[in-house]
Amino acid sequence: MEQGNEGFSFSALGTRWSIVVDSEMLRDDAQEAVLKYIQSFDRRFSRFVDTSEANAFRGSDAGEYVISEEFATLLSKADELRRLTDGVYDPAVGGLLERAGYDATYRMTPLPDTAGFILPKWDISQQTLTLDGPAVFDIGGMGKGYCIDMVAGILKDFGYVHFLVDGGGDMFGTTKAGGSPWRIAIEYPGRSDTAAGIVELENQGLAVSDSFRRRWGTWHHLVDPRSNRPIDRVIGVSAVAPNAWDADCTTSALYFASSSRYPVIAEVYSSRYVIFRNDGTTLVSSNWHGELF
Amino acid sequence: MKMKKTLTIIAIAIIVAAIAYYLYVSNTLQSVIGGRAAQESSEPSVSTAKEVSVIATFEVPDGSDTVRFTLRLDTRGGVTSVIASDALKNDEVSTQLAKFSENLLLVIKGKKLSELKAVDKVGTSSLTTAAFNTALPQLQAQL
Repeated sequence: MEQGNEGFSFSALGTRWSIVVDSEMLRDDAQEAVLKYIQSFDRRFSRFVDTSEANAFRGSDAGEYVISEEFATLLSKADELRRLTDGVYDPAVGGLLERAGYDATYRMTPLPDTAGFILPKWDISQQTLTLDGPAVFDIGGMGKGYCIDMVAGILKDFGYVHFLVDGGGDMFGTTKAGGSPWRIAIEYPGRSDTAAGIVELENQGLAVSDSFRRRWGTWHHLVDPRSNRPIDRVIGVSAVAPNAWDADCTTSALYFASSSRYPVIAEVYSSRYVIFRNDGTTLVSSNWHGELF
Repeated sequence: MKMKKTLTIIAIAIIVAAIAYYLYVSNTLQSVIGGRAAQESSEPSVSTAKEVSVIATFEVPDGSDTVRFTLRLDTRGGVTSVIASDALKNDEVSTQLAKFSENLLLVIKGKKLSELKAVDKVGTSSLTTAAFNTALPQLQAQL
């Protein structure tokens, strides 16, 4: 970890983070608090960690299980996404991703029975998780946004007002010291040297998702559990919302949902979006603010 | 004045969309709705048409949605309405489609990051982990 012009930067949750506090440095005790939380989040909820809650039900029988309050919060939001996408988004695809090769050992080779994966059925009510059998949860589609907001909360607790939390390309920004917004370029899906546009964040979150990274062979990490294959109709989504978690949820929902659901999703998360489709066209919500090139 | 400017932008957006469909989805258009769509899509001229339309096919989990975007223009070429209807169901306008028509269909070309000024950060999809990138050549070696 280091603190330079790019702010306090470190690696966590499989990506590069940086925290910029406008016009000042992040104190050591604040750095430690941030790292402590993110490392704890990773240990508790990453499916790549054997002892995490996401992995705790890998060998479970059908039944009801009491889970931690924070995991229940995450799964409840995932349940909301599942409803908004008519079941196409489902964090229980962890087992499918493992079979396809995206496991803790990075096998990267699909198993012969990948197409035969059967999605576990699950339900969440407060802190009670009901399962019909073994399940591996992958909260990658919304966990980082939640984590970014929690880090922002830690910074506020330490008295910081003007900051930008960048969690590997997804962000939350307050304002700069002079009150002006943070100007963020949105990367064009699959073209790391090109911007699709610019948004200005002012106490808002930004999420950017595409299918060009975390890709192996004919697979990538955004999979449809009904076909047990990657999703190809959308190649990238960017969204701005009042916080990073809702922005992250918006991108995941838009990736997986039927187009008729788009307005509802934007309404639920008070968000605005750009959807890059596989035919080269782009759908932009009518409430979009910002430059597009 | 501001409204007129907005409508002009919407008109441009739809016309760009029509061009985009020629470039990218003309095969899809013809396969879905035959010659009628091709004829309608070939008349997006503001100067001569009172109404122009373009059909977009959206792939969805259950198959596809086929939506007709129709622009109505006044005699000066100003846009008076934009309607999204179900092209496969007698142009039925459902509540969902009414909301969906608020989306703009555009073609975004992008601009080199090096040409942008006064940008604080770049929003991207998360970079892959070192372990992931290390494993990829091993996969490629097996192909």
